[in-house]
Amino acid sequence: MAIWPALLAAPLYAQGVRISGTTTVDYVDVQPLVLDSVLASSTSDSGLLRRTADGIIVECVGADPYCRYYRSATRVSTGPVLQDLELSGWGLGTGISIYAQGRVRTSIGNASEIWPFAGDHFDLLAAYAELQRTRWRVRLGRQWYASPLGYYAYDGGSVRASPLPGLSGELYGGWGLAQGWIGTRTSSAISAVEDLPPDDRGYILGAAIQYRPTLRGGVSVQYQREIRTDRAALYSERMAAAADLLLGGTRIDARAVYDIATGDFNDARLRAQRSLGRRWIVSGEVRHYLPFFELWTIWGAFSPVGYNEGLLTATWSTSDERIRIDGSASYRRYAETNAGLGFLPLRNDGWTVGAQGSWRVAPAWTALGGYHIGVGYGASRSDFDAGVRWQRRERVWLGVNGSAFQTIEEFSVGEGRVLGLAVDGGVRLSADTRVAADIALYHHTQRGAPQLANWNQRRASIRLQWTIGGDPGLAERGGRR
Amino acid sequence: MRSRRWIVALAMFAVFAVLATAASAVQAQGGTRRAGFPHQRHARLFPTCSGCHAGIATGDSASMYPPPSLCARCHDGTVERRVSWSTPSRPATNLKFSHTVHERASTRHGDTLTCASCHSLPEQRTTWMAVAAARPSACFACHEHRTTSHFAETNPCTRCHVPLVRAAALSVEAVAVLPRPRSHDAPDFLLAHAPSDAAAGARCATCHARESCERCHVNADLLPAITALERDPRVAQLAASRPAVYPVPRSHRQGLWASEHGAAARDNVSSCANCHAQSSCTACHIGSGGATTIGKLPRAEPGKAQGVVIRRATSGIPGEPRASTAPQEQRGEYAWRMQTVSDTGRGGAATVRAALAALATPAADTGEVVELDSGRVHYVRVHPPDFVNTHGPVVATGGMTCSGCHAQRFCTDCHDGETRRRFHPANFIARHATEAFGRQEDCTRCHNPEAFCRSCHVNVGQATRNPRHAAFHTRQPLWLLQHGQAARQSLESCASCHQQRDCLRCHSTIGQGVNPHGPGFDAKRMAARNRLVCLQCHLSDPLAGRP
Repeated sequence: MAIWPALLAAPLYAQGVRISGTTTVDYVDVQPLVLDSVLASSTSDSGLLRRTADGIIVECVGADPYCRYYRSATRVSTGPVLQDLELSGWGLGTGISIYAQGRVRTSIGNASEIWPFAGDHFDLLAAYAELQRTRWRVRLGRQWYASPLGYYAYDGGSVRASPLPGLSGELYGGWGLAQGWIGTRTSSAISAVEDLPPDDRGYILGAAIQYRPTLRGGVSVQYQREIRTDRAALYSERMAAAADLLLGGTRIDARAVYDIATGDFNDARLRAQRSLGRRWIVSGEVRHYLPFFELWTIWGAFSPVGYNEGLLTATWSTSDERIRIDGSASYRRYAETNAGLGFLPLRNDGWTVGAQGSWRVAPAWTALGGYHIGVGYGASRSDFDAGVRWQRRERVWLGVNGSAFQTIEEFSVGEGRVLGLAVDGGVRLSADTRVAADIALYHHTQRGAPQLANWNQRRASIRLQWTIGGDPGLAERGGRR
Repeated sequence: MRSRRWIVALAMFAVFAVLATAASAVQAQGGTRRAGFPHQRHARLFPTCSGCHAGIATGDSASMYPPPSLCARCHDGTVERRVSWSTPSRPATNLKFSHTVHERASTRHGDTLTCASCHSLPEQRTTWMAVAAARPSACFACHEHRTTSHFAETNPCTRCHVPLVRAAALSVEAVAVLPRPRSHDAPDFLLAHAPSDAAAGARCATCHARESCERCHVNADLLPAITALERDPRVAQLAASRPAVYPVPRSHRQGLWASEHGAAARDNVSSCANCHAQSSCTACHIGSGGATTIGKLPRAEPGKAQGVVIRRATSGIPGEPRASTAPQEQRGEYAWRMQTVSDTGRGGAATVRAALAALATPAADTGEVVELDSGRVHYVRVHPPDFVNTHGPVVATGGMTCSGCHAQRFCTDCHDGETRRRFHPANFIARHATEAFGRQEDCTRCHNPEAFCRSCHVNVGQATRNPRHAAFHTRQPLWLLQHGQAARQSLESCASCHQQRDCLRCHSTIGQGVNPHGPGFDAKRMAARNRLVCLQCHLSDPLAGRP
């Protein structure tokens, strides 16, 4: 907290501030699934699963006079309105700056619940003061830490130091928020969907060291633990390591995330990328994945298994990048679950193949297209997209995009064949102000299967983005830090 | 006494010849050549040079050339045909050669310098009045910097030439075609042409003025070697008609340069300032990172060199994932985020428009020097293809400092889990099942599984609190037998709909008592960190009493 007196006592010179905001008004309408029922006597079969006269498969349990099934309900819509504000202030003293980012959220329409976090009307994503010196930096307040372990926000402090060239370390800690979210584990958003939610907030403590002896490579190691505030148990204890190296024209990078609580590697990948001449870039990756669960859930005790995957990508482009084509292919195979039945096999592998390209037909026109197919455990997908984009003088752009995709879910009520058409555009009203909008229609072709979930959707969005003020450190933009 | 006069006469002749030759050379460069006097045809008439060119040695301009009336004594139309000959005007030159000084020096040193020493071809040295243009090599025969070449690296140009700004008589056209030393054609000349000392700078001044440097150098006002040069309107006129030319150093052609030039910039920002103004950097650097270094660069001001002008392409960034399936706005969004706070209000003509697309490829280090000039679009790769999905390791190791180019919002717009960036393809809600099961990207890096995934699934009816009426699995009569393998293969997908209690109905001591632990389950290890989780399923601590 020593930073605050310094802040207040700082001479009022060379201050600068930058405020940027994004106002977003979205619209989406969908047909949610609802539970419906028919009289058991109206079904033609017997047993647990029966069929109605309309061909709908229903579930009939015991002596219940009604059989139940899910169907798409009538259309509901919501119009979330979000206002993001970001503020940077500097020049409050040598190396002192402040930063804040907040979000106000509300919605119009009759089904606000179909938009994520609709019940949270205000989020403070970050709000901290920073003191920066040549070899160290201190931050106090709400901040976040993104790392191979994920995105964690917390209320606390962090100290980053670079005692030697190429070597830096960071310590961070405070009251932690839930992973990947600006909310506590004890908030109603979690308890609304979980009968056994965490009953205590948590502390987060972490340390990371980076060592980069040359421009061509470096390593990092990170340790992080989350502790219940009553210190009765841990929510998580993990480590991560990463490395990258440019070796003879080949860029190699690797990452590993290790769950100390279970003794498993959640994510371990090794990737190599290389240019072949001026037009080709190819890469290969091997990866092991195993889901991570926090220790307040029972999921980790269910012995989940991971998979190993190989992935190849290739990119070809003309020297002026006028034409560019990307291709990829992958194959993954799951480990033995020790829970399968030989006579009821489930898929235990998966593969993907895809290609996409862009062609700048003329300076203002770009055509885009791509096709991807993925077949795997749980779900499969085949989807195609094509579009064209017109852009004039970096100020006005307009795009039309068509899509067609099919999703087959192994355990779901059905499959979806969806055709989509989207139009989007934007105008730069001034140097720091832009308006962008898009509208999209998606039509689900049900092909005579009345029970399928209806994926018909209409989506629209309009966004106003603006910025006031300059960048810290630049004389022409309002001062130096 | 007679011999001394003879020497003086010869010296005067030599001086005249050198002057005349230099004049003719300059005139030739200027494009017009005046017909010279046919000396050799008059060899029998003139025994001395000074008879006609007495002023050459004395500096008396009136007697440097004979009057036309002298020609008319013979060329009167009777004895000889009439000729039109006029006294030539003083030639425009940047030579600081003085016949008078040379005549005096020659006399003082007792040298045998004659007019023919410079104004005759070596093979005609003995032929009287075989007058030829003086050549620079004639100078080298006497002067201490003996050399075989006019443009030798060791030649001090200033010995014979005045600075360009002093050669006021030279026309713009003559300045434009001043000879180009061979050294200037070396492949890396532009990369290392700064004069090493004042003497070297003076050499540059022979042909260059300050505007020569200001044409390209953004930091011209800060470099002593440039400020030492005087201004010249002729050079200014020429510079205005020529685009700035920027060599691309070899270091810039290496694969890591675009993303890792920060250290080099910090160490030697003054070197960057030769070609780059702040606006070169702020095309990308919109965050606070690098601001101190960037602030040390000069600003590109109207009417001055703009430096290498880099503009971030707004027509999309090739290499973004799923570009074809993403809404077009996604690609514009990335670009706009750069544009909105960086590429604004700076004006000035873009001489080079670099579309920043993806990290310079390692193979791009061909060693060649590429010069950026106007009218060409140069593509610079900052991030490799699919970097949005693979940036984790290189960011973790400090290989890239995101804050150097991005505001914090750039990160949170993806990682805060509300998909503000439209990271996913259009209508991902309908397509995401494959990717959610496959987990090529771990959803939890950006999304909270309960607050985001399960919440949505519940709200749209995909998840239910009654496991017997789940929307999933309804057409799988033997699902109960399969679900063990399915759950272990993708438990996070189960957890995106199901609560823990759904499983506890069977997998707990108060339920069916079905053991969910697989082979190798290390209960002690997990319990050592959270014993409370055991009690979710077990009525009592299953490890109680165990070490």
